[in-house]
Amino acid sequence: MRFPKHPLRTALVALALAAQSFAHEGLHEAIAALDTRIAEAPEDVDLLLARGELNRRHRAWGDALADALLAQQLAPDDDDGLLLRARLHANLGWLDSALPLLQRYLARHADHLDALWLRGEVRAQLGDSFGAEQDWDAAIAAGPVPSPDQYLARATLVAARGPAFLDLALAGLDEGLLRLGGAASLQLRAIDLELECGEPDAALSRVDTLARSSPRQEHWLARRGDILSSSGRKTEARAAYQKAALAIAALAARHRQTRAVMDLAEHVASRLAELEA
Amino acid sequence: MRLPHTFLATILCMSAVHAQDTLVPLAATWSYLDDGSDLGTAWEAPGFDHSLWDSGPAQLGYGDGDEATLLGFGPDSSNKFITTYFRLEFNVVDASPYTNALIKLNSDDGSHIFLNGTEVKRQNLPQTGVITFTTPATLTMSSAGERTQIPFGVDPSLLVTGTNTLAVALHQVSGSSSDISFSLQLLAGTEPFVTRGPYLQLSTPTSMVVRWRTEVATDSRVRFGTTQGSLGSMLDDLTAVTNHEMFLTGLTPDTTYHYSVGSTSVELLGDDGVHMFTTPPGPGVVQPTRIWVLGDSGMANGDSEAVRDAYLAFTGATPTDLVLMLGDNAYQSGKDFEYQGAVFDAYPSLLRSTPFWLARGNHDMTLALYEKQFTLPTLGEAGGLPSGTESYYSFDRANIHFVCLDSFGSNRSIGGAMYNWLQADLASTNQEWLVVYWHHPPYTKGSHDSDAEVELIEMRQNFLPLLEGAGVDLVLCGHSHSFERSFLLDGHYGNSGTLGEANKLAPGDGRIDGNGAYAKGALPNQGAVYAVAGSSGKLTSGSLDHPAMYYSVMTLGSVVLDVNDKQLDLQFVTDTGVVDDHFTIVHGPWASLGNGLAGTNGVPSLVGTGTLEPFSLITTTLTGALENAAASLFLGLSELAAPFKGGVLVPAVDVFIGGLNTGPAGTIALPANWPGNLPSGFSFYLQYWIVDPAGPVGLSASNGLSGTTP
Repeated sequence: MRFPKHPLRTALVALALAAQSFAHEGLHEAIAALDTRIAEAPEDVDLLLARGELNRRHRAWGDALADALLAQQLAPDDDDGLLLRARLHANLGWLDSALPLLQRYLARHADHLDALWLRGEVRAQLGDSFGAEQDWDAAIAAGPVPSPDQYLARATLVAARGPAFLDLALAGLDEGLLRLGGAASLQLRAIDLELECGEPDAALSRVDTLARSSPRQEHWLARRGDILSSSGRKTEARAAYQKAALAIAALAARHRQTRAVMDLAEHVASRLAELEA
Repeated sequence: MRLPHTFLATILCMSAVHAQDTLVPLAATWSYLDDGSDLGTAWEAPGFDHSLWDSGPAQLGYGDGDEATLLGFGPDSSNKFITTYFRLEFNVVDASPYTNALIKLNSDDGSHIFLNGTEVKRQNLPQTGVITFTTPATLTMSSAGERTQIPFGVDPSLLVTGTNTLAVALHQVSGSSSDISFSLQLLAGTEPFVTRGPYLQLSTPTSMVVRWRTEVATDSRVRFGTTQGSLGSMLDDLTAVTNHEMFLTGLTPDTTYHYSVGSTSVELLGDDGVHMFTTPPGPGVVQPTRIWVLGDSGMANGDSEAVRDAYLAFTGATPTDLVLMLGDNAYQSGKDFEYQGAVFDAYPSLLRSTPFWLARGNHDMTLALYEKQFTLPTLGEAGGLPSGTESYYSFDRANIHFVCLDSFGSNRSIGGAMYNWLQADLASTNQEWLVVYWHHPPYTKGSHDSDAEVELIEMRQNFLPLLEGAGVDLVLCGHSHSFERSFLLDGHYGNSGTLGEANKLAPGDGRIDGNGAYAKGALPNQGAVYAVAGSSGKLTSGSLDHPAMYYSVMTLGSVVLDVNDKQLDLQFVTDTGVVDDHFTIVHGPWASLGNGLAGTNGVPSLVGTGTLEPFSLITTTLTGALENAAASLFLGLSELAAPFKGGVLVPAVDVFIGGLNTGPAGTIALPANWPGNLPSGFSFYLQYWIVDPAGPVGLSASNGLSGTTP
């Protein structure tokens, strides 16, 4: 592997090499152990790649690149080396070179979930929204337990294409809600998307779903008020805000007087005042 | 279900085999060859002649200092022999009844094992291909791993009546590796072996998860009931598995249950007076709750054992209601066998009786493997909002809301899934106490630096404002292998150099027997205490000088947390059983407001005691002031918090009481009877100013203090 010749990339390399390594004695120990073994077997590609990966996790980009480079010289077609280089290029923002490395790797390991997800990230950053979605769809579908972050990332990607894609973004979130069992973070994003779709009743229904899991109601009542208010349903909004105010007043002082609830109380009061005016 | 006694007796009579026989004990005497010879494959066979080999009892090895038999490694310590051979012949009176066999292997680094000439295990060696005497082990065995007895099943039909032979080749990971270790136990019996657990997870007032592992796949049965010897309820799962996970439901809150585990054909463990648990009370119920907190405990070494034993001695008869593990639960990288040694073999008595709740650390590297070991909530099963992931979650116990965050593998940004879930979760709980835990600490100058490492910085900058805005009381983390704990803090999200006195809401030690407990009243941003408890398995040095910390020490230990009604007590118990630090947080009418001004003896501390109920006795106490100094007390009905004489004047002064004196102890205690005609929510503010030449303009000041009638 050659270091990139583009001036920007050269600068990135310099910055990366100069970056201070983060202290991490667990990785230090593992890297030191590999140092010893590599000194005994300097052409052991597996050991070089293992150390390269640890250096990458350690954000020691220069050391990681050096390991990857040497491993590549010793075994140009090694798949693990290919993936390490792809990850490093992606970490360093070398998207144009990361993508073909990932293509090559995935051509031989189509079901590697991390590589699929990473190619989706690279594609998304390169502006290939549909390609990214395709990769992320595949990674989520094949993943044993996808994370809420993955569903959120995909929804954000799809929704960013414009109003025509909001339904698709919502469908992706609903798939996640079904699979993960009602993750609140997905439901909250879905509420926003319902509103962007002009579906306040669907948004309200989702708020109610969250409220049913919650021992406290003031936050969700205020959210109802916000949705109703933004939909021009002032009477219903006023009622929701009034209920929120009552719920806040009924809280134990310890909860009523937190900054979060005081801010909420201020918001509810100001919205009520606006609706009364 | 237990086998009928008569049937069991018949088996015993017919075969002279007990349910579990030790065929090769852990300290067995092995023949060994440690001269670097290449024996090819001949050494594997039962008839191989090893009569000229040396012999000695296990553990055999070198380099660790715990060997019963010291082995050689050749003339060059930087190029040690890769392979050492072991053989053992043992007699079996009658092998025919055995239906199960289990090896527990202690192996540093890799082991190639043959029973009567048949390969039964490649541990930490290439799983395919030919293994020669120069083949190194695959991975360096961590110190935790080399102490673990890795259990695995063996085909019992390989055992023969009469003489049997075990042959083992122990492989170094490299010629420069410092140590090898080997011991092996062989068990055989007529029932499946429980190789892990049982252990309790995900407790709620009406449910409990019981898990265990067997060496062979069986179906699952849990029997449970409130009376030992009469377990009236039963749960079966007919799927044959080795990792058993049973969800007991329909339980009664705050009730003690006895239980047993096994299969539909045999009861393996339990119903014995030690396999029992008590369900939590319902959420919000006030009940004394003891929590044991372990950070970075996953070494499976003598240090973690000492910490455990010190805690068990400390708690004595006081039951542990739950255990929190703060991450790095199994070094070096969270492999299955590392969890076996560092968790499941380390705390068996607690695991079978107390639910463990874990956070993920950076050494719990593989999420899928981590999730496979444990059952943690994703659906809000135990209280809180559904997170959709075991990486972060919340749950309720008595009047405490616990939140576990993931500082390692999840998105730590504002607006990420974890952040948004947390914001909604915090807005949904009505519990009295809010205790939050994760791995990477927001404040530390231990073996890690919260000014320099991205995980620590992001957790501090992104999550602390949210937590403090919701009234968090206590944050527990690990990662640095030391104990550090802060003052009562609020609003500090920058690097350590930007911490100001205003961020310390109470300048004292937080001790009832010292400057007084940290008081949190019904006002916004009353602060939290941040503790780093990452010394439960190892120590690593650091400067230990973070200004947010009241106390920092590099000592092995764990945290004991007791919550009772409106009082939370934290104690740091060392590996020798010494309570090295302690503090108390109380929820009540009083609140420390910070903004003290240091004088000769540091920042004077002002605390209030008394309920502020009508006609009750209250006392405000100043400590830590300059001795025999003139002092004035400022009182107001609202907060000013304006710059004043080089410090901050907290009350908007309505009343000024001068002519006071701190006396030879530097203290002033003022008792009073609280009026009977003040409405609920009435607040007042206090602060002492003391003549003190060490202050910037010849004055020092206590922290501000507020009182609010309930």
